Amino acid sequence: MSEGSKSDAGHGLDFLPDPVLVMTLDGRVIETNAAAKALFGAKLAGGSPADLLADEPEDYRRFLRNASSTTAPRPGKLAFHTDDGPRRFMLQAARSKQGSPNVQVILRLLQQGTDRFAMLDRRVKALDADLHDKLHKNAAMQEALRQKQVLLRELQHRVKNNIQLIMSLTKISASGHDSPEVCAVVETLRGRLQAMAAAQEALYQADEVETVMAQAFLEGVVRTAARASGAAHEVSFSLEDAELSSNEAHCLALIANELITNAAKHGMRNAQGQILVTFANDGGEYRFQVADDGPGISDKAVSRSSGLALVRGLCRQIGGRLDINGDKGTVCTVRFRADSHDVAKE
Amino acid sequence: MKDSVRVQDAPVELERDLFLRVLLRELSGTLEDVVGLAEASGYISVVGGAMGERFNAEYRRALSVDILTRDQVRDVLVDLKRRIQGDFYVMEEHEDRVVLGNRACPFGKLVEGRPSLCMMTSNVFGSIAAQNLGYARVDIQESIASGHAGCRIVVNLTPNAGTGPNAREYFRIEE
Ligand SMILES: Nc1ncnc2c1ncn2[C@@H]1O[C@H](COP(=O)(O)OP(=O)(O)OP(=O)(O)O)[C@@H](O)[C@H]1O
Ligand SMILES: [Mg+2]
Repeated sequence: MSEGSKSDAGHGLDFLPDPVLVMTLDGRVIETNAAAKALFGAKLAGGSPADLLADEPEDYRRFLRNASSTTAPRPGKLAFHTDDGPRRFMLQAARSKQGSPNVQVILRLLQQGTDRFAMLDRRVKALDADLHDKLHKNAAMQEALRQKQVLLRELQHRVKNNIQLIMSLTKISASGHDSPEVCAVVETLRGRLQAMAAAQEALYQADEVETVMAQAFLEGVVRTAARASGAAHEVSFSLEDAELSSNEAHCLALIANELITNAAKHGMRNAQGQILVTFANDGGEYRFQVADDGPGISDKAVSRSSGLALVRGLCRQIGGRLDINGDKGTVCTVRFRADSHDVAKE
Repeated sequence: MKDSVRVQDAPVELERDLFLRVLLRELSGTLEDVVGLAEASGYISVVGGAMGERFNAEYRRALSVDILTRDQVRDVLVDLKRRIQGDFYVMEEHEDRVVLGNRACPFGKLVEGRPSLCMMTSNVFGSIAAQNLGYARVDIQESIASGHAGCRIVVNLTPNAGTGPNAREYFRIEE
């Protein structure tokens, strides 16, 4: 084959669907196939490398030189002028075995879109966008949840403050009245508000926004109630742990306050006695008990109750029941099931 | 309580050389999976060719010669592999070819199942031989990467003999 000829006699490449160019090391086209002619048209006619190759001469010459070192195909990329402007092609390049005396390099252009990298690229991009979207939504949801928790905490904090405000308001209202009736009412009210504040405080301090650990929580409630009713030395307790819902915690705090107040008030003989407070967790079956060794309690007394009526009402709120045994001292027992069981039933 | 091992003392097998070999293994494995063995070999070839040119220049400079003789080329191929902990040796030497054997791959066990990495050897050998002697046809007839006990590499130095399926031809790059 004579140098510079563009005849197709050399390699017979027309059958290949990809555009193929045979070039010298300085970028002159020696031979092409039909696909290349269709792609580049008139750009091939000029015969000057710059008409076709869009890279710097130094760059495409280096690429061609490297490709000329082996007849095994090597991948690469080159830019070509097309009718739509310059375009980069992935390609495979190898030294032609027919190129003597002048070295020739065969370039097989991989059509954009059919080259596997482009396909993979698109796939990865699609997956990427998907993943990005999911991560984004997830982050937004987490942020919303975090904001809700902050709001809930803020609310719990305010409720606690409001309870304390009510406590000081009752004190202010009662001041100046020294009748024993008023004092008794205020004391009872204070005890109840204190129990509610304790529950609120525990919720507000806990790591979890909506649950409270029973052991530490009840210990605080029992101590406060015992101190308020002047029986700090008589009360002992044995408390197991459990996770209480905020509703259970609120009710149980008030129940404990009522029963401990009663034991201190009615369950002592000459201001002497023992009060035992127990909380037992039998696999989600809870038992809260206040037992004293006082004179016991009569059915008649129970029927005209006010504090005990409150305890019954609170029991209904947590799906529990109150049993009173007044045979030997007074033993008041509240039984209820963990909140999650109730939720599961709904 | 159980005595816990400090992280710094944990028996984890990791240092820079192993890290780089694992990196290469995963990289070549990914390439083989994504574009197929033939094209992955193409990419490794580009790298191997460039490395061959570089080492060729290094040896020429260190030996203070413009071009390596046939004997020097043979010794350089063996020496180059020795320096990176391969165990290459001359099995046979003929007028038109050198046959090299290898008992240990520089990539170690991590080369197993990664035949594209053999293109490193083919291209480095081919490049150095062709730059100095004009032509080389490197035929990796057996390789640790594809499950053989050792490698058998034939470096043909004349173009006339028939070409095997795993043979690749290399030529001096014209300036
Ligand atoms: N632990 C107890 N030991 C003996 N008697 C009790 C005991 N608990 C309650 N009682 C009796 O039951 C009655 C009802 O109790 P309840 O708590 O309902 O009302 P209270 O304590 O009298 O008033 P309040 O609780 O409203 O201050 C009490 O007046 C008391 O006679
Ligand atoms: Mg009472």
